[in-house]
Amino acid sequence: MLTVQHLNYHYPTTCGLNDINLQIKAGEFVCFMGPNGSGKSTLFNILSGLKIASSGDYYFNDALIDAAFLKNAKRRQTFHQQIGFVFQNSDVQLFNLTVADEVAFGPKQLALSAAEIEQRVTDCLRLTGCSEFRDRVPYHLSGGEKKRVALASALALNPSVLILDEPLNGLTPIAQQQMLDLLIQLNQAGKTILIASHDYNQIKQCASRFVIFNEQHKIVHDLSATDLTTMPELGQKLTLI
Amino acid sequence: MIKTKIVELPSWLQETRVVAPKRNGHSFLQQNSQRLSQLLQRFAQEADIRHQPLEEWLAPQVKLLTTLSTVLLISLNQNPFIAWLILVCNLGLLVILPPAYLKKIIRQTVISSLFAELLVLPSILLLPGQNSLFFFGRTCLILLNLSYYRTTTTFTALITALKQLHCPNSLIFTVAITITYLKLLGEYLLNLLEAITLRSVGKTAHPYQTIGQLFGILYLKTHDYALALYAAMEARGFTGDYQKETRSIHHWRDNLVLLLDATLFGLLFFLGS
Ligand SMILES: Nc1ncnc2c1ncn2[C@@H]1O[C@H](COP(=O)(O)OP(=O)(O)OP(=O)(O)O)[C@@H](O)[C@H]1O
Ligand SMILES: [Mg+2]
Repeated sequence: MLTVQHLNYHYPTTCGLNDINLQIKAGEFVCFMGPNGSGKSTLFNILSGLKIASSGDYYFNDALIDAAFLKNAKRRQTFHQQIGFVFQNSDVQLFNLTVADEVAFGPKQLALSAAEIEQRVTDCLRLTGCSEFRDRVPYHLSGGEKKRVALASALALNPSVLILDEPLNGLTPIAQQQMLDLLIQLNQAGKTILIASHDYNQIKQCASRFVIFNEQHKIVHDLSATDLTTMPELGQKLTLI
Repeated sequence: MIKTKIVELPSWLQETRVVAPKRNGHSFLQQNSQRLSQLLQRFAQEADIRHQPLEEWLAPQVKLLTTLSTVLLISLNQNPFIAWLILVCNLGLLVILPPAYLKKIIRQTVISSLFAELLVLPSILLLPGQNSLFFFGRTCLILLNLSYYRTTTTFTALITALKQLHCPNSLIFTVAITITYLKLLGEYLLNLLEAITLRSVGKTAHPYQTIGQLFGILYLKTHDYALALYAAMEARGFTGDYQKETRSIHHWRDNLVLLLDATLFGLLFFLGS
């Protein structure tokens, strides 16, 4: 579904990603781990089409995603519909006047009936536990609330791939568990899920694959969850990342 | 492990279906946001000084002083000979720059000069003669100098220069905050635009409404940010005093450039304007 080959990304002054190779199949639940600044967010930005790799290729469903691909409005829009992305800092992701508008922003651009749109909004708010603040201004929500609204807005487009950059940060343990349960269900319904997290013990209950970055912005391990259980010392190390 | 109530997924979320957009085609917002992002991206980056240590070539305060005095000189000067001398000095400075900078400066100067020419074109046509042409030449020269300064100087160097030149702290504070802000606000706006791009899956019904909201949020952010920044600076013991940096003008290049400035001013004085 997603294929990345020899991908590099350079910021003006630093390296962001260093020769990344990755293949992700539909329906996988992949957790990305690594030290701060190792490149997880950078990779997610490329996968969601916000940044273009400095070199190397990125294929989504066999289509090469590059500047030319994204220039075409129709292709770009279809691409964005299939990939939902929750930023690491969801502060900058909300731009509407009410939470309900925020969630409806995407669906409103599709050829859906008003009833269908309303249905999607209500469902997404319920799933993420945001129903109580549907009429509030997103800007004034707390950090954890914003995270959940951002997830609801991404879900409303029914993407087949969900990319979540540290979505559990700033949530209470209960809210974290609720979000994980939701993700497990979405995964069972066939959605591909890519998540960045620093909490190995928590994420190991749902992820089926782990991709580990090192400080040099490279992938050092790419293991299935079952492989990992046979390597307790690596698991021990991951709890510290 | 915490037990939570399992929620039912709605049926639409369980199927994989790509819905066609309401209407195809470029949306106004999308087109403009792309252009704006490009602009902001350029803006969010500091002057490009990673190729060579250009900064050390001149002390920051000397560079600022030279730029300002050259601009002053050009505007006071009516003498073609002096204008020509300044041009030669400028070209001398340009020649020793790495090609990447050179290209950037020339491009900037040409574009802004063309703009300037459009503005003065009526007066050239109405009052033909050497004067308006000379006026245009001087404008280009000023633009060249400003572009040179902008391209080769970082914000930090500008602040240092202001400190060295004994500017009042309140002025530096204002400049520093404005500059820090512009960068951060630019980045913030860029992120918001990216968020919009991600969820732009068709034609937006009310693009202007979204743009209005964007600026509303930006305003709120600026306000909150200013308060938070000031509080954070106070919490770390900021008293409104900027420390002076130690590097002072003693390099031969600094003195040479200052001498050159003085000579040009002297020439202007003796030859008359
Ligand atoms: N906008 C930017 N400009 C310049 N450098 C950047 C920018 N964003 C990230 N970097 C650099 O790129 C590298 C990778 O950053 P990235 O944000 O992808 O890391 P990360 O793995 O997401 O870290 P974290 O766990 O802290 O979120 C870091 O060295 C970082 O300093
Ligand atoms: Mg990150």
